[in-house]
Amino acid sequence: MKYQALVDGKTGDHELLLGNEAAVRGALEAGIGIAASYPGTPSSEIGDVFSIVAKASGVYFEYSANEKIALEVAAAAAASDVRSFTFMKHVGLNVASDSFMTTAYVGTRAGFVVLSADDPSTHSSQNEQDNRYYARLANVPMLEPSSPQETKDYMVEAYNISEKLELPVLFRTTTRVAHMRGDVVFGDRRPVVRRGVFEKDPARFVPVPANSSKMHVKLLGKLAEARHLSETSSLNHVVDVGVGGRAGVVTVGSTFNYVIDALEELGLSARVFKIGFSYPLPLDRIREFAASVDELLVVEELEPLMENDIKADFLSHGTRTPVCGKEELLVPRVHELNIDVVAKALASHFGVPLHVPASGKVQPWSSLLPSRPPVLCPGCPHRGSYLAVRRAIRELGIPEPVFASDIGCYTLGMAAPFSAADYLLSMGSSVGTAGGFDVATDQRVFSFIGDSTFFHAGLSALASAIHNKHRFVLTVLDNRTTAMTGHQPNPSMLTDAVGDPAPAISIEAVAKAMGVPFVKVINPYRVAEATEAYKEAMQVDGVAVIVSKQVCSLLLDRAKRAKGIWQTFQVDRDVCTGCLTCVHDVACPAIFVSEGKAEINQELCDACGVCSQVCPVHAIGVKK
Amino acid sequence: MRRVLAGLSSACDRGEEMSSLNVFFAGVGGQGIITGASIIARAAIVAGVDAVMSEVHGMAQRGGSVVCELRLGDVHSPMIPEGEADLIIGFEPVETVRSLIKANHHTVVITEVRPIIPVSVSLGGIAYPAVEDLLAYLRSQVAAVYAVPAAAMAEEIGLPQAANVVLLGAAMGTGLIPLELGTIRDTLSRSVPTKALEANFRALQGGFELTRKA
Repeated sequence: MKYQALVDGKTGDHELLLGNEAAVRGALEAGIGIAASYPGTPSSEIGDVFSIVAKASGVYFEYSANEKIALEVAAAAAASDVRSFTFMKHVGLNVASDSFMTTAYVGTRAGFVVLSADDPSTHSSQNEQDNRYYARLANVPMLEPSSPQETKDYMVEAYNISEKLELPVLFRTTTRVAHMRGDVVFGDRRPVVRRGVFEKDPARFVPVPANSSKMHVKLLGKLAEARHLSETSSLNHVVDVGVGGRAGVVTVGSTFNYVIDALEELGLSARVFKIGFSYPLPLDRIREFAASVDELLVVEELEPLMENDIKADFLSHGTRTPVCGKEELLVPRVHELNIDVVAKALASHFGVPLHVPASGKVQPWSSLLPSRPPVLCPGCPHRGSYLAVRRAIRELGIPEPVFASDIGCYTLGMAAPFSAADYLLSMGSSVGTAGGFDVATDQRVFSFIGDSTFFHAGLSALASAIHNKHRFVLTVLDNRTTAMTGHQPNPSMLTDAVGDPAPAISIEAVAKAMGVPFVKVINPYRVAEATEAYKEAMQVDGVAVIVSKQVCSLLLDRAKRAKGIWQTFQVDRDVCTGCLTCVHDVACPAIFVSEGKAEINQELCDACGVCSQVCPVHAIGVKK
Repeated sequence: MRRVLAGLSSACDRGEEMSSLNVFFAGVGGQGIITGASIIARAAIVAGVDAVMSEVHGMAQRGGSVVCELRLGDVHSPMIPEGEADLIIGFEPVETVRSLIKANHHTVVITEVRPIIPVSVSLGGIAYPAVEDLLAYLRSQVAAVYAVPAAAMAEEIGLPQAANVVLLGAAMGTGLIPLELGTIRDTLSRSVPTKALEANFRALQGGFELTRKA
């Protein structure tokens, strides 16, 4: 079994692990019994690993339909005295936040950790919100590791803190910690407690107004206790770089790595206060630390949270050490930091010269290089869906259609030639916003949602649209998986998170049961039939649902190769007229132009056959 | 838990003392870039050399630019500062050139020579530069450039997926990476299916011979 070492690795063993893999080992060392999640990059690999190791480690793991449900499953488990773990990407915590906020009020019995993987620089997200605000909003303690080793170690500590305070702990990582790989030394695994007993205590667990106002008072008491833990925690400590440094830096998370490497590069001696237990901040210790340096630079990604807390605290205590950071425009407030940005901030603040590579930097390439943004894969079924809807719109002469998009690989349909994403907010937003465009404009509206996203936040939105008599064509791009995050299962599939058989829910049956007047299942690889289906759907006065069903080409490809099928398409250069309709209408990475005619890269082609159907002279066929 | 990076300074022929080796990988999603980098990192850990890596996961499954950064030695951040890559392993010529922001004049570059034409070119935007021009540019900027027909070599071996292992072998052949080829072979044998092992070894050896001779 892959990841066997995570299950039966002994104390002192070490493995090269991704931050996300280390989080799983940490949870196992903490003896969790239950884990639940909805996949989201940069947290996805945590679930991928649990899918493989959960059974072997005696842990229950599920993919819930969305993050709020995952958090609720875990919260109830922890209230039943079973240590539990839920993890999600930063925007997933928005979805879960309704329940998350109240978990702070009702508290927990067994340890309960909520991991939020933030994505500064939006590598794979719609925003770069700073979820450290959630610790402040909910009044719960927060830990932030810098490396895979710390991710593993801090997880164990998070469960101890959670049980000590009877509060959930927010565990915040960022892309560069979640996707950092490094050596991790293991500790002991505490035995798994998989089942507990829920002992009723309505005054504690039922926040009706009479109870909840008291709960808030109690929560603030726990927060004061958390502050005390932070003040004495070894997760907050001073690292001296060089000798006799009078320059002070306060930093946290991945930024700590950049600070240390940048100081080495600059040859600057400094005292660095590394924050690991980051809410509440150990302000007493930071004040003491400030007395040992001439000035403080706060280096953190995104919002100036530590900086503002420290400045306010110094002001109220009359601490004279100057504090700088984002307010002084030394540290950027947008995007992730790196060694170069941090070195620049340190050099400019502490007045030392920037390090330049001994040999000098290279000259850049003289002209523009062709860009290579992420694109729909060769053979991706979404290509056929977008091609069909575009053709139907063109044939019916629909002016200015609006495309309400959603979160998934299919958002890449935004690019030419499909231009099929005009508006996007969040998971499930295609359905709600489609209704908004319908009632606010005279434009025809087309919305697109994936199968997993449909179950995540599309169901209640669809009910609302039907009931409010909205008119639009909703395509469920049903590729039989949660593709973008790495092929996790969803409720429309026959297997669950750990590979056991599970009841599959039919999307078309759900739509029909809700009363959708037009529901049609299409195969996006059959362009003509799919185009006709769209033309029919556009006649419907209400919500029309098209379920475009075709398994993700990456999975199809894998399955075909396992069976020894190696099929590709090729262009007959004697027949090809060089009209390049295939290039411009299909925009497949496998098709390129060679001496004025289309050519298919045989390594990339996945044999979907869509290009062969758009070729006006039938020059494309299966390679013999 | 930091260990001394034995052999690292002797492995590098630049005048200054080095406490770390920065290896930058660039290519196109689906080329086995992370797998290739992980094999070096795993081998390093086995040999008692510290290794940290930064990987790109998520949206670019296939077709998008992908990079992976590997640092051996006494460092904290897995990301390489601009101009500080000691070795660049490019899996596609344009992606190799794109990665030169991480290079300095002492950098050694290994690059696949076979282009993968991006959709932006097919759709009629900008032309794909001639590979000879890309190589000439690389040669004008860095200390050494090894042009490796890795994809073609892997095809000849009968395992097209092993192009990344050819490049890995070529990286080892430069002598920059302070590890034994045998350690890489051992790591490889734990990472690939048994039936593909022989072909992978041949791919590794093929790449190794190519740069060692050069």
